[in-house]
Amino acid sequence: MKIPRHRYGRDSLDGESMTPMIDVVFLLLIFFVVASIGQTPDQLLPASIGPGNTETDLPRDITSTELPVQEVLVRMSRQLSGELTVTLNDRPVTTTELRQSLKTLAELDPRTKVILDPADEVLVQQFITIYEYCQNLSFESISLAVHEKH
Amino acid sequence: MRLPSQSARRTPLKFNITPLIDVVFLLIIFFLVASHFVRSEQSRPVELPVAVDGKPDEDTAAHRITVTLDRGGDLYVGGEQISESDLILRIQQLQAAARTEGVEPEVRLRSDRLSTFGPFRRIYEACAAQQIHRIQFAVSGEQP
Repeated sequence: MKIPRHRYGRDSLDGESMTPMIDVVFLLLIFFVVASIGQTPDQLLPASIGPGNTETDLPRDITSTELPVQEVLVRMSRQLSGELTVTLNDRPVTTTELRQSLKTLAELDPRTKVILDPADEVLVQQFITIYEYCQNLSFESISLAVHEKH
Repeated sequence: MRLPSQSARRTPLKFNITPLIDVVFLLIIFFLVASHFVRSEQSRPVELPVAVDGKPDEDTAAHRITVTLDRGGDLYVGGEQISESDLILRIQQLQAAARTEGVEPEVRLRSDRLSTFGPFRRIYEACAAQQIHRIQFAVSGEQP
């Protein structure tokens, strides 16, 4: 007696079912390739420029005792060499000294109003570094200087 | 004579889900690729300034404008280069539209890390002049 071989039953299965499976496998491959191409999303540093958060009347006597809350003016400028120079209340400081002073001020009184006034030639990266540092110190008010047009 | 019942004639129904999976995956890939191109068209690629503590983008503002400032000081909105006066006009329009709907407008500033602060300042000054208080600086969490 001849026993039928299983091969006959499989022939049609092999021919018909492999193609959709390959389709799906390729689609999965394309899906993961495309998904990995995706752009890195931007991160954000929030800034509020409400009426109290922009300063137009600079310079002024920021050490005046009449002010209920202390104000600190941080001016930034950039030398020809590209190096950042900073003044804190018109006193030249290094970036390390600035960080230390701001840290001390934040610990003493977080209500201290920090006014950042970068010069036009300062790089955005230099500004963002100091702005982010001020935000991390949890100052309640970080203001950006606005230059009045003449 | 015995009539064959209908159930006996009916072949067992086979539901092949493979084409369905094919179509679903194709649709997913289509939308992924489409959204990728829409995004890259709307935002000109710049090297964003690096900040360690940037917050993730959780878009909630209904009225928002994204301004891109490249290294040369050129301004782009929606992938299109515009002048400073056009930008001020756009900001005015944004404020007017937001005021009509009673929502707070937002300006997102994407600046190249090596661009100078002058044009950057003029953008937020224009926002301040139009009473737009909500500004976001786009930053990158990755070191160059």
